[in-house]
Amino acid sequence: MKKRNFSLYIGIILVSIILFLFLLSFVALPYEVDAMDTGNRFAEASRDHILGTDQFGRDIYSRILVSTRSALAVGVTSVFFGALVGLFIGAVAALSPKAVEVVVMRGVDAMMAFPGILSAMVLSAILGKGVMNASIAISFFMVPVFARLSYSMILENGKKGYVKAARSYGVSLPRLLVFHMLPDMLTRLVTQFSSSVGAAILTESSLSFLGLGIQPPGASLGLMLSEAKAYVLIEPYQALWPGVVLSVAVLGFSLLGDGINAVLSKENSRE
Amino acid sequence: MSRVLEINNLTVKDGKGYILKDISLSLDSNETMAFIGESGSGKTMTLKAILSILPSDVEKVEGDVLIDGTELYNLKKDEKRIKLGTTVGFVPQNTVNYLHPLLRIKDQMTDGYITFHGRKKKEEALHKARKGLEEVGIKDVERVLSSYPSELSGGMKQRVNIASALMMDPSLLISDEPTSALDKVVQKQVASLYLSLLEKNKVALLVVSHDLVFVERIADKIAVFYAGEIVESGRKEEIFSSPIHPYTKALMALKPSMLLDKTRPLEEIKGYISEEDRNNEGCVFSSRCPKCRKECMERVEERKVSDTHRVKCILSDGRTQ
Repeated sequence: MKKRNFSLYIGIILVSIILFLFLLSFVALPYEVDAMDTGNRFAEASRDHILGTDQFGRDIYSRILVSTRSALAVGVTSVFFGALVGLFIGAVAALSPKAVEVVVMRGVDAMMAFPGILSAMVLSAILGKGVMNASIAISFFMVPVFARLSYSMILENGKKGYVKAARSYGVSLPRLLVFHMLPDMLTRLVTQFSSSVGAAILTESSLSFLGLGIQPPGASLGLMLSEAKAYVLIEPYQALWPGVVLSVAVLGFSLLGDGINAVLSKENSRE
Repeated sequence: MSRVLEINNLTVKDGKGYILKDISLSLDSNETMAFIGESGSGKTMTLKAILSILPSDVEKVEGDVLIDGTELYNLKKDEKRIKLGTTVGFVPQNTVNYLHPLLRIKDQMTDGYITFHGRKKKEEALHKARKGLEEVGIKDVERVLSSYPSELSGGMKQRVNIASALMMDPSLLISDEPTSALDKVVQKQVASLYLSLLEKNKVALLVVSHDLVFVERIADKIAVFYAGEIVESGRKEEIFSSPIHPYTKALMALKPSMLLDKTRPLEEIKGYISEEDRNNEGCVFSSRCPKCRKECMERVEERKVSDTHRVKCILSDGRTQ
């Protein structure tokens, strides 16, 4: 019996929705993010403002579209750079003599001991507010995750017969890593990357919610939620749509990661 | 005829004591030698010592391994790699684990050759791979070359591994349990494949096997391993028809035969190889030997029965039998 990979399908659909909104923000943005219409505050959904307006009369739909830009930009770039640094550190630890390995990996453990959001907040506080610094802060807490991953994968791969064989006939280190090890590691890297993007988007929103990420009048899902919370008792719809889009984005990337994992590990295990 | 492999008094230890003790053997260019003995007796460890891939917690304390007359353990790391890479082909046990599941056969077969001869020789390497696959009896060479290991059957993977081992034209081919993990039909195919390879190539073959029928077919010389020692060695006829050591005798009784009496209970050698046996002053087999006497626990010596036949047992002179 064939088991359907629902995670993958739902993940693809949800991520496509976010990507669609992201593209829409460049081609069909109804209003500027900061275009205020003070005579039209807290407007209900209408033909002009399909999701209504906020406390300054700004179009909520437009703000959500623009928010997906920062969510994706921060999410993807921070995970990308975090992964790059993390993979490098993990690889160095795995291939170095024992002493170096212990020092590096205990350092990584120490980094991991801090909750991600906490270290991101501390870094944002040190570096200052803003998108750039939020990205750096998020990449920072992605580093130990990927360092551990590449470290354990390289050690595990080193025990495989074909890797031992390649070592025995003297393959160069870069070739060993890229040609003999990477194909095997790709599955878990892609999976980790996708779910990390979800986590990074959530962290970016959290930072913005706390006022450390995207600054007003820019638009971010977290910032919109933060602004909406003051009016949540009188105008609950303010918080609804940013919340929904954020959930879709985070859930989408997580499910996509799971789904890809299921597909690729099935591929790998067919013998 | 030249001497391809010679091992003199090889002794290997780990933290707990002996792993291999006083192993000596030699192999000429057109000979086949088989290692027999139960699991944990040191057969595979001897192969690892020859290939210089002993585990990190195990150390060679004595003896030399000469390949084509060159003492292996005196060479520098790179020289050793080149020496082994160009003269010894190795077909590992569990061949499946030695094929990369995500690379095409042609890429993994040629990788070693390219590493030794440079990227420019890619075509030459491919040509060698084709020739090797044909030699091991594969008909649709192109399809196999562009397949992934998961698309091949167990017997095919075994053939691919043998072909890979022949890529560098070795003078010594080492094969660790070539027929285990294969069904009877494929076992027979692989066995006859080895026989035909031996006829075609002038290689020496060193094979570890539990399959006594296969060993009887293929081997010229046999070394019987027990608890890290060679307890008896000699030409095939000597070991199979006139074994002397009690362990060899017990082992030969396990060989399947058409004349087997079905009412008789199955033969077995009771017990197992223990840590104490390895470090025993006297005979390593004494704890399980049905003929063991007091003096066996204290001393053991190697005796020459003929020029080729040697046995490590003090009871085996016929007087005490």
